Amino acid sequence: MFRIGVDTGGTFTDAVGQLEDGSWQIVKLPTTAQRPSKAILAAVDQLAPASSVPVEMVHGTTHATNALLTGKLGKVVFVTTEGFRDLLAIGRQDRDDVYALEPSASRPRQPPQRIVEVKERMAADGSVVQKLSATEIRRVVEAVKAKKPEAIAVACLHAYATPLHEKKLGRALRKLGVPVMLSHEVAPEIREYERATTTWADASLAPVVRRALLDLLDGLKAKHHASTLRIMRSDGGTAAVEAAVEHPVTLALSGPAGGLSAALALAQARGDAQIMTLDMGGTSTDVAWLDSALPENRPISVGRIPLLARGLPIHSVGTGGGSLASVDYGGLLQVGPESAGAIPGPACYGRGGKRATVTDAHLLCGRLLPNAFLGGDFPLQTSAAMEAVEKLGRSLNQPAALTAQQILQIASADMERALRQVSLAEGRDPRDAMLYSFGGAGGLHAAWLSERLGMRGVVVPPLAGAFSAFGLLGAPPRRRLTRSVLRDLPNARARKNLFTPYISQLKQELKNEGCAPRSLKVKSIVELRGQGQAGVLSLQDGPKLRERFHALHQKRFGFSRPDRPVELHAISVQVDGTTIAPWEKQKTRKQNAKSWGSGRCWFGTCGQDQETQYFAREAMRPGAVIHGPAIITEYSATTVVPPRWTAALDAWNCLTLLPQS
Amino acid sequence: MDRRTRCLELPNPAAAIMKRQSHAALHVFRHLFASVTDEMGFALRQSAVSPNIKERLDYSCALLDASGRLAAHAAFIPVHLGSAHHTVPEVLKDMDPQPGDVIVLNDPHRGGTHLNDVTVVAPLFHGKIRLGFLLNRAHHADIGGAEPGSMSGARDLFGEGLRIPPVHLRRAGKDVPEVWQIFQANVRDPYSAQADLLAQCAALHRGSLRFTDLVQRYGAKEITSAMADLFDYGSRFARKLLSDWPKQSVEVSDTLDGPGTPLIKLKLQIQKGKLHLDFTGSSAQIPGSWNTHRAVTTSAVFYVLQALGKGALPETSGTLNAVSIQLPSASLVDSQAPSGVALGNVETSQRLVDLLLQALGKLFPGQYPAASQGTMNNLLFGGTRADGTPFVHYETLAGGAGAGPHSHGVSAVQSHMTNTRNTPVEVLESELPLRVEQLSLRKNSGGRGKHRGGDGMIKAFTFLQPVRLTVAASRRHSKPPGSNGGQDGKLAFDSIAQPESPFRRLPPGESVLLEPGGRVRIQTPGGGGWGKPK
Repeated sequence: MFRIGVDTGGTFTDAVGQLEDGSWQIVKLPTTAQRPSKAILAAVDQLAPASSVPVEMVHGTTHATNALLTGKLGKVVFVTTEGFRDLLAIGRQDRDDVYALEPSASRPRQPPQRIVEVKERMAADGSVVQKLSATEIRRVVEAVKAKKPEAIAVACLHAYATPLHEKKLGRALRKLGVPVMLSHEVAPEIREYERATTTWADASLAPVVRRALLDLLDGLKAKHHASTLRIMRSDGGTAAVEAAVEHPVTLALSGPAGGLSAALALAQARGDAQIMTLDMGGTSTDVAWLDSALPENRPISVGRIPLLARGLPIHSVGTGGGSLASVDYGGLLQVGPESAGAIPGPACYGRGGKRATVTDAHLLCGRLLPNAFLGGDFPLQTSAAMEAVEKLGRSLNQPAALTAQQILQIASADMERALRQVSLAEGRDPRDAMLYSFGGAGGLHAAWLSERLGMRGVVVPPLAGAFSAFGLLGAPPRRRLTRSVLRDLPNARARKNLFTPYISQLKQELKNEGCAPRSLKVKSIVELRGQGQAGVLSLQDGPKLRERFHALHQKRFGFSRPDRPVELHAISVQVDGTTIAPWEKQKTRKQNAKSWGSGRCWFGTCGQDQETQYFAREAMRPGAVIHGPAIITEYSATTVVPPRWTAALDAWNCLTLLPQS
Repeated sequence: MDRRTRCLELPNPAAAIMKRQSHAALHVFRHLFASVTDEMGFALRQSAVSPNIKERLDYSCALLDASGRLAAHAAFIPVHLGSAHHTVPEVLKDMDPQPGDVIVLNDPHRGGTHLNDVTVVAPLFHGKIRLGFLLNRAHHADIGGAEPGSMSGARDLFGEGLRIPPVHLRRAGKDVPEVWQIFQANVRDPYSAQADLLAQCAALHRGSLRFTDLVQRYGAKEITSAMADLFDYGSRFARKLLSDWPKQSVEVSDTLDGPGTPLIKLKLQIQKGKLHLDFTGSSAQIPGSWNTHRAVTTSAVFYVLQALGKGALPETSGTLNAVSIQLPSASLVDSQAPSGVALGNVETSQRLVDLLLQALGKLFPGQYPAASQGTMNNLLFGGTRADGTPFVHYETLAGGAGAGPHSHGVSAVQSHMTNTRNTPVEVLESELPLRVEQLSLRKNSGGRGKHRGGDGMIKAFTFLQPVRLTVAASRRHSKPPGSNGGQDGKLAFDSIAQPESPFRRLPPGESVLLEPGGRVRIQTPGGGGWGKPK
């Protein structure tokens, strides 16, 4: 078996595989958007040995995300309760931008001629208001059939409470031989619009995602007989490709979930109870707060369409390395939301970009080294960066150096707000957390952000520049399910009865994928709220549930009301298998790392502009220590160690940055 | 100055460009201040109980400087925010809030908007110096008065419900129980109302903890000057925005659906980067709830400025420095107590925006969109569940957006002064004794044109318990006008039926008692079309 992690991003396809000597190799190829499997298979060719060796691939894909964003979806018929044909078109009736004079409202684009209403009705308590007759079922099947769908989405009102009618419709419609997605199976949760969008997305993705992923598996098997393919899901676990394509909406955040899942695994290994992640890319930055014992899964959204197919709580801001700097009407310097994108990219790429970006500012401030970018394969042009920043500086009547510094401060302020939103704003204390930074540029801002939020320090995991691909190999096989319950908190025995059927169902699914029954780890999670409240808190089921709920309520929302009833809003079950982690604990030996050069660097709020030593991460061994100020380069990533900070390579090959006390 | 009119010009800004703070520092503080309001918004939403707050998100949070000028806000309902800077000056008139105090108010003439919007304010102290204030406003589904929902059936402000001038809700961290008691005794669903008000207080508490962190970190001086700089920046931005406009003047007018078809007149002038708005000639204040007052009229102007700035305009009240507003006293647009204002907030404010955009469309032909639905279609009902507990529900319904020079109007969407969501049908039916029978687009209700106006919506309910119900709304008599040769959107139409009886038209504002099995059907207006249809 040859294990390969592959992460397909918008610009690059990253693949990581382990060579015979145990070292890891990264292959970075341009993504082939038309047919993603092309770049993936090319990367496999560069990594894998003889074709007789089967490949075990774990894959994070943006295919589902992109299909939803671009609308390149399957032909779906949407079936719903009579009176609600425009459920998807009306949505939650709000508009995207409050101040747009010609507003837009992001809602699924389902052609009206492919919607079928059903005479049936359930009430909120699960009772039948209007019976679904056999004649009506026949009529609906005929109407749907006439529209020649590639997949069918069924979302009836109150199906989360009672799936009776949806099940009947499902049985009849499945005879048409195309995928049929039923809302109570895809997302058994209250709120008809969100449940319907999830079901609609699942059906719309089914034809396209199935085609693409099975195509990849075929290509893999053609060369490497008996290969297997597992896909990363939004929830941070993997599923065999055959299961993943059954409900492709679970892949909506497959791409970014890989890095988060790996960060979680490392956090558990290192013993970090709370972490925040910082994944800075070219056009945006993703941040998240994760409790390593019980990471939250929440409803997500893609292109402003809400999806109940829950995922790790990723929060994106539109500031990345390629964000453009400009001056607004008020005479204020701004960074973003416009981006130089991959082409032309930042001015220093020398591909025709004339406007200053965050990356250009880093270069001018001595934080990015022109000859160490992508291992020196891609020299950066300082003169082009200077020209762009000088021009901007002239319009502000100030020198280029100051302008570059301000660009970095403004970009950092955007990221700081995002980190505050996922921590402080939700009643969590960043002082308890470590900042896990990955992606090529995260390490340029991480220590700075850690200091501003008073965090414990920074962890830059191994292969930071291709961490999402690398980390895929450490993600567990997983099944997860959430369903609405909506009643007063029942006692322990009654709760157990609620969980049991789902636990056995999910265990069976993993057994079918070859997971050893004894290795399976089950988490029973309750989502509780004070009577009638919106704020739902997730806790592991177990003793003293009420007490733990009130304590957490006090902590997160600033007050608690133990006198009021507690409601069980929903239950979640998560079952995990095990996998062989791509990292193992190593012996450390304390030693000072050797620098390969030096130059001047600007440190922002972390210290004065000063002479700074350069180090290569590849030359560091576990236990190696570096005292700031320093810059640590590695293939496709750079980490800045400010003055009065210390960096060390720990037993897990993580670069840890801590402020000197 | 004419005795009948008052000029609302705010004090001149210090014109210095980026003197006290650098570009970077202004951004840092702008984000830090916004983080404080983000946190308040999260706390309020998570802890609130009534669907109107937790599902429809009908609330706003703001940070204001020591004189009450808006420095940052989160979760925006335009009508809440454009009026927030009127609140603190009213509080300071005869109070001197101390650390740990929470002031509550809803009096439209004392810093509120309409009575349903209950506002709480907390001072922010550093030692003995007051650095600023936190505020949040949340629309309570009921605040007493003649009818459930408090927005119909009243002749004046007294009939609209409980009127709260600025008073202490908490003093030095301790509840003032009498105020809570009066509050709960005057509303139809005291449990929800109390829980929501508690959530509002919790939000203030969270915001002030965060603000205190900032002061400890950066010092009071830095924080104060950053707030002043943000204000100046907003003012500079807005003036620059208007500075390219030619010197021009235009007059427009429109009528309301209210009794006696009251008139709003506007003379808009542009002069040296400043917008002069003169509403002289508008009708005198009228009986009923259609009047607006100074704060709400200003918020409509604030919204239009933001829209002109295409979302890039900093959201501080500094932007209003680029505007002067002339309002005839005791009129429809600057009413005095005790005239009713419940619908001024939600209906007349929409018409003010239509009028401002109509004026701009005359000045710059072909550049502005046609009228959107121009109403919020306020649906209000209340009654008692089978188990004897009271309930009151309020919601606003989407309609068609006006088409513009670049695009068709969006169908079934909230427009201009509001952006509240709907309450999911499944949540409504879980919590209230009713069934939603239909929720669909109202086909061909948008005005035809080169670009079509957005379609309105049809929503129909059946009630399982007796309810008193009102639809308080406009565009039931005058259509949302098209623009540039585009046709008008369709009129709204509301109807009700008692059990076993046919539907009949329900006039706006009329309150009815529906028996169990009774039905209501609301058809919301379409948006105006833009450009001649082919």
